[in-house]
Amino acid sequence: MNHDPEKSSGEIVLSVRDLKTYFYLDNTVLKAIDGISFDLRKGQTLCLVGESGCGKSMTALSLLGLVPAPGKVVAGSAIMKGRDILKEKKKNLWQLRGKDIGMIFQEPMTSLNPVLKIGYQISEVYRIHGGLSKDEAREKAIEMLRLVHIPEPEQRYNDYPHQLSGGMRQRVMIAMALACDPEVLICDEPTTALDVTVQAQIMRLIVELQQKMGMSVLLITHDMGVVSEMADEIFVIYAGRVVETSDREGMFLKQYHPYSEALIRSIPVIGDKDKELYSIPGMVVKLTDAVRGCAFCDRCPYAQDRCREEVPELKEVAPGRKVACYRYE
Amino acid sequence: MNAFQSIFRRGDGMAAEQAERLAAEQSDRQAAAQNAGEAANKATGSTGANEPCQPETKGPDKSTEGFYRDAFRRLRRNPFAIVAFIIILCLVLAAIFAPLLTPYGYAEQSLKDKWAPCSGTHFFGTDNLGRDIFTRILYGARVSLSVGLIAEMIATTIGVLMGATAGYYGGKIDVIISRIIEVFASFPFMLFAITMTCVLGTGVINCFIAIGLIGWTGMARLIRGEVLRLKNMEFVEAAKANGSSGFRIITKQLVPNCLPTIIVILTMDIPGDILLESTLSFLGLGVQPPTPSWGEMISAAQLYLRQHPGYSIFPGLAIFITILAFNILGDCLRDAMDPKLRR
Amino acid sequence: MNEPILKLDHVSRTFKIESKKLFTPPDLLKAVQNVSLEVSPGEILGLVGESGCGKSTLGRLMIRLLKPSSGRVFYRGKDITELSEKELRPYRKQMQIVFQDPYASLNPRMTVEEIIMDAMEVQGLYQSTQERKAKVYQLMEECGLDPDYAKRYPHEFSGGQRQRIGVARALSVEPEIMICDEPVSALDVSVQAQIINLLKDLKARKNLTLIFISHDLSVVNHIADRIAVMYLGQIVELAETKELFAYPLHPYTQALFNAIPKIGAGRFDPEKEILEGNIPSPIHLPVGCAFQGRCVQCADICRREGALPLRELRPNHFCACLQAGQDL
Repeated sequence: MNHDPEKSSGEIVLSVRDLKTYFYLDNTVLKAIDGISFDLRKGQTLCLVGESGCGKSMTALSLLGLVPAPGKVVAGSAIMKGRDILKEKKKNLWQLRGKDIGMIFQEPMTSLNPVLKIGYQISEVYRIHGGLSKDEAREKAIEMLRLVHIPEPEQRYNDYPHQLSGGMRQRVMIAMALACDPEVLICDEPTTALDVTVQAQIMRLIVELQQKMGMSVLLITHDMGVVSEMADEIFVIYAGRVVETSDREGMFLKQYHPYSEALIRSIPVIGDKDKELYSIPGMVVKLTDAVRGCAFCDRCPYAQDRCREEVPELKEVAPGRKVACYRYE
Repeated sequence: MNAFQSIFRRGDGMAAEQAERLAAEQSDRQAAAQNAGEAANKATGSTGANEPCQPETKGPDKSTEGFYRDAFRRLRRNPFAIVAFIIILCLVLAAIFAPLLTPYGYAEQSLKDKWAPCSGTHFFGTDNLGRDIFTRILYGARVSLSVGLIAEMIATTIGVLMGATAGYYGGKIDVIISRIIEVFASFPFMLFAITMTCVLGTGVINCFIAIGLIGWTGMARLIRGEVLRLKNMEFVEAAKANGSSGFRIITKQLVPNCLPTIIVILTMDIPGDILLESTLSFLGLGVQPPTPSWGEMISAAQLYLRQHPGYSIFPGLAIFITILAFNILGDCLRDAMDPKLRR
Repeated sequence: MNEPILKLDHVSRTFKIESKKLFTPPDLLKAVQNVSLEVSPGEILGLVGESGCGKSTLGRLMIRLLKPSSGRVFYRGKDITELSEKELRPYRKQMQIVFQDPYASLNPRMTVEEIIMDAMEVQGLYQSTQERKAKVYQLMEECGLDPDYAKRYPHEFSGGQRQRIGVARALSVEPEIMICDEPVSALDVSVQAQIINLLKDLKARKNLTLIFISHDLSVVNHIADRIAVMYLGQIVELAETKELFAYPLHPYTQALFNAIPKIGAGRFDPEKEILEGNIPSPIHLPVGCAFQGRCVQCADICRREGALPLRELRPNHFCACLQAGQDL
């Protein structure tokens, strides 16, 4: 994949090339990620979109060195501040996590330690990365709680996770992730477990903090609604590969890849009630199957013979739009 | 085939040093590994209740391994499990085919041959009445194993029913049953066994009953815990929604889900039961002479500890090996059935 | 107007929560408060609301999986509130439920065949196992599953397929009413559409009455004839679908609509007005309107009155708000 230096503004904060993460199971290899590349620019939000099992969550884990066994990152590079974070020694990764890259997860209940006070968990980040004293860390933690709009932060400091609602816990997670002012914030399905009104609050918070702190956001989600409101750039992932890239408006006006098209069509939109909802026919290919050609070809209404033979490359099809599909060659 | 080799073989074009380093990192990661089951889930990026990629067709296209088959496969690969299983198998076969394995009867006395040392004709020697020890060990296996299994069956049945009932119904029933469990659990076994023999008399059957009646409390507590966890699951609600009675829910829905726990606890309780039987027979409350029981043999050996210390070694060893084998097998079973270790 | 198939009359359900301190009485969690509702045969009623609003509890109260703490439940005019489990058994045939979690709702130790047959056995339908099995295969086909897989276990199927099994199970006793408790919330968007289409199709063919519970307004829009919006255990708005989407009257309903991301409308505007605050705890409810802490239109009178009744503000459009409709 080539650089497009003229295309978008802003310096590149994280540059990922050809990331591959495979899982070595008993007799098969599960190719969770099979060649994903992207550039994350300063102050921008890049969305990885796809349904369950497409490998988008694994991207975040791969970047932070959190891929659980028997998986491992087998190829690719991720350059941040001049160094390849995929090649970092394990013992140096802790510096990266929390300091340069913050991450928030989907389930705030399981990501927070249920037996520690939330204030303590936030101040821990300051003590580890900032080397602050206990009192200084506490002050900063309370300040952070205020920044994420948690009311009465001094009192909430002493609360345990189970005493807070889902939305509040997600805010605590955000506070922890942003404590050290990281360059990149990775959000893995941050609003999926939340009610829709709380979702709106969290989205607003992320946008607000992004503007204030100038960080870049890598947003991973399957919720097209969230994508439509938050993304600057959209990467559609299917079966571990990028099948289409686009800016936000473009994606919803016109989709090039048949999967993107199908994805947008199957969103239930408030409107015509009696129309039958569109559903993508066929099956998602198992990531363990050896697929020779395009992973989507069995479900694709436009499949040609060529699609079954070779994997299509990601190529530019319009200004700012790339797609991996033989329809456009 | 480890990951290092696999990378090389696929010819990803990676430099040798790179591959080497990644392989080293991988073994690092594996050392601090999470379990593979969660890994596979994470691999496919499943979010919460969403599940890994599966064909959205009218059914599964390839049968994925069932729980028991997968557990069995893991068991098969565990050398300890295999050894333990073989030992138990040998014991069972020895017990069953005892008459074929020895020309002597267990009560056959030959006073002129008493205290014979180990020899070709008497593998383990003879005891104070000239009875062949090897024969008595073999027949003793019958007693120990049958007590272990049958008493455990009794204990399991009582324990599962009581525990499941307490867990499912909760409320007053739970309180009552829990108190009963505590009473039985605190009851000193010996006292209970002695009382039982006063009531029922001595003998093997009473061994079964005494041990079975006292040994069910551990199972009951654990099953109660399992049922408490399971009863709020939606499939139980679904059973209620179609009008199933409590009994039907317990037997058809809940107990089958407790089977792994039941099997493991069962296997690990058997050694305890065998020991209890030995103790009972040792005290003269269990099996009566001339029927041999390992415990009874050790008891008899007490009298001759000074002159013939070896006499107690064989039954002691027999008990030790049997209990060890069951314990190891139970341990391996528990690991094999641990859902977190599934692929 | 036909006789309603289900009628709820001032139904409430409270749960006791053991208090943390010794010797203090337990806290009361008011999951459902004073709900009165009628469901017509053959309609699809949507219950919409966020977590803690009591919609799942209400669904279960409707089919007597839970007993109301107060109020009455009527099925075809018969009062089923006080019936014992044994007396309820014949009614269970008419009322079934499809659950949210495709993992937890199927017994992992039973084959698909056994799962679907279980209800038929309990209700004593059909004379022989053969007949029941035939019915199982028929149901699987109707729900888009291949009967060849009847002897498989739930873990071998995907989430969408598992939901189909759940639907087949519910239909096995040929019920009149089906509660669908967030049946698609745990599924991917493309699979959601399949299940919703399936439910609509089955409803038409078997003349079912569906109660469709969801937190997702866009999904409910596609399937429900009438929608009830719930907040903290109360119904705050009740109207036909088209009417509700065209004229949301209650401030909470309006906030729900505002919060839905609009595809293609541009980037999220941090200045845009959204609902602040959190859903208060259902244990310590304030007097007056439950929405008072977060409502932009809240006036003194809203804080004084007890739980507000539903008033008809437009034809067949009910709203429990004293401020709404003032500009109508």
